[in-house]
Amino acid sequence: MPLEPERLLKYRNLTRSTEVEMINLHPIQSGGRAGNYPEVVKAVLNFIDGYSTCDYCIKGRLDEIETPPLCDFHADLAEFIEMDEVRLLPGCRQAQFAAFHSLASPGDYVVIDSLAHYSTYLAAERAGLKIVEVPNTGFPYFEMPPELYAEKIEEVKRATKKPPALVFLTHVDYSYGNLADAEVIAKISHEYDVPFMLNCAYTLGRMPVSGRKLGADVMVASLHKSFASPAPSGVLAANEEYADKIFRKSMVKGDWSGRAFPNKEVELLGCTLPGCVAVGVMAAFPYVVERVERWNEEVEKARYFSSQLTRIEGVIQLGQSPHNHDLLHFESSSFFEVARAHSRKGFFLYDELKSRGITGVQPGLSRSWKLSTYGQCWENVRKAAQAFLEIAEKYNIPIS
Amino acid sequence: MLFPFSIDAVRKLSSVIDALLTAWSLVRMSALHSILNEKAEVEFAEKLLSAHRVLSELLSLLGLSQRENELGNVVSELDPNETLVLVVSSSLMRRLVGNGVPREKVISIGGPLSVEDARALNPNISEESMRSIESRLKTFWRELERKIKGVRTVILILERGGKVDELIAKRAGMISERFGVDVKVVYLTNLDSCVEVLPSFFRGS
Repeated sequence: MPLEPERLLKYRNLTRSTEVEMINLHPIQSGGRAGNYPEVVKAVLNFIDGYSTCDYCIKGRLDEIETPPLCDFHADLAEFIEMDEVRLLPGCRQAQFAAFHSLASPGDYVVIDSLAHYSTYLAAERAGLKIVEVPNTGFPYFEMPPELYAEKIEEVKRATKKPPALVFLTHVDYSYGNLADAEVIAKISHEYDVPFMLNCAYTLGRMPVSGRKLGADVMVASLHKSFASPAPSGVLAANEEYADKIFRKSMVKGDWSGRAFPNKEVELLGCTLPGCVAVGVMAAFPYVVERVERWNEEVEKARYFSSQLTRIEGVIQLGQSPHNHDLLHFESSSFFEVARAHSRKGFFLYDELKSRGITGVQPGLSRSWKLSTYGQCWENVRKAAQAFLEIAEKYNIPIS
Repeated sequence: MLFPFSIDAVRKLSSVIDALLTAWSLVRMSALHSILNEKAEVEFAEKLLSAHRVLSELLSLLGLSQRENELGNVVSELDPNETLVLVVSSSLMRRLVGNGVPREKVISIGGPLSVEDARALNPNISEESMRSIESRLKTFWRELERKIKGVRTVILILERGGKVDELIAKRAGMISERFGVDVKVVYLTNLDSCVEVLPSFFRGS
């Protein structure tokens, strides 16, 4: 059906100036900012055509392409995160599903942290798995007590006469930015001989992550969230013991044609991430290797920011304190009170921040909001904190 | 008209884009405080200068630098007191006058230079529209007759690739024949360049 040209006008001149005109504290955008890295921008542009990575694809698999050096990149990335095998996928959720689907059977149980991302629940549901949640400590710290993992594994064993198929942990959760004790939970998991899967969506690419040190059998991550990469991109990594199962090769054969695809990996449905996204991830890699070494400074910035905002009466920071990650969740009874009386209601906070060149706090929220200081220079962190203090002052909220 | 674009030109264009993208990334990285550290500053300057240099080479390779300078070259040999400028659109004329070109030195043609050309452009044109075109042409020729006194050169500024502009170019001989002046046709890719060149040319008058 032909469409009128006027109807298509809105698809032209699509631009976004947020990153050059504002200090953007959006928690899901801070670690995936790829445009700050020239080699990523250039690589994405040069490989912008759909199957641009496939000029010299001899073996029919993305991870085996030698030019551009995707084959080397897979090996180098595996070494960097200290896992045996890695594959690129369109996102963390696809990686979770692939692991669930290959390591568990429908009806099996998976023990997950109660701070897991919603996509973990959906991935398990799609794979036909039952979930058992490990409770967190609740307000105000919301931490995952490792010992409760053992309790939940025992609970599954009692109910099903077998251990769960998988133990799953979100390394840093998306609600409070809490850094979980993966090492201890992995140990508990291994005591029951259950594979341990770690979601590093908020850590891989921001801070040093070693699968070996953390005891991960399977690791998943979102590269567009923390690896300075374009979307959609994620990674699925596994150690030798599970890699064969997760990355098993196709055995299907056409009953009439006899066609077979023995080099294709079933869970990945063959190739996963051709073109500019895979190359963008690869181009981001050298920057990521360098930036994870500055992680301590990122934590310092987050702690400074938290210390400034909690000077405002009625503002508290939820989650671990002192905080161990750039993702911060604040609750504010004072800003909420202002919002109730304000003509713009909860949007007043967004408006006030925007007028000071700050964005990233969800429009409409005043009682509780999340933000991230990741990748901002000290000057911007101070300016952003100062903006909150100025707003408090403007609305007569006491500051200590 | 086909525009030849060699591999060398493509490579130069890619190099300009690469350099500018790098500069753009560096600026993004420094947002909002807009201060580059020493290392980034050196790289930023290098990239901008490289883009400038390679773009100049590219323009020269494609013969575009000469094209953009054409108007400047033409007027450099003329006396502003003996020169009259013809443009097609009245809005461009207003811009020129607004930027300092004397009103007596510029005329807008407003459309094709003959009723035949107007009909060639639109075979279904109504009689009423034709009458209006005839009236416009009468006004134009009258104004030209008035302003051309003492003029030796008429610069006819046209937009490259414009349909009406091409038709006007073909009729340029009408002006030289009727008034005995030299008519120089200058094609511009970007009409803004004449707003930059002509005011200073006439200010010298």
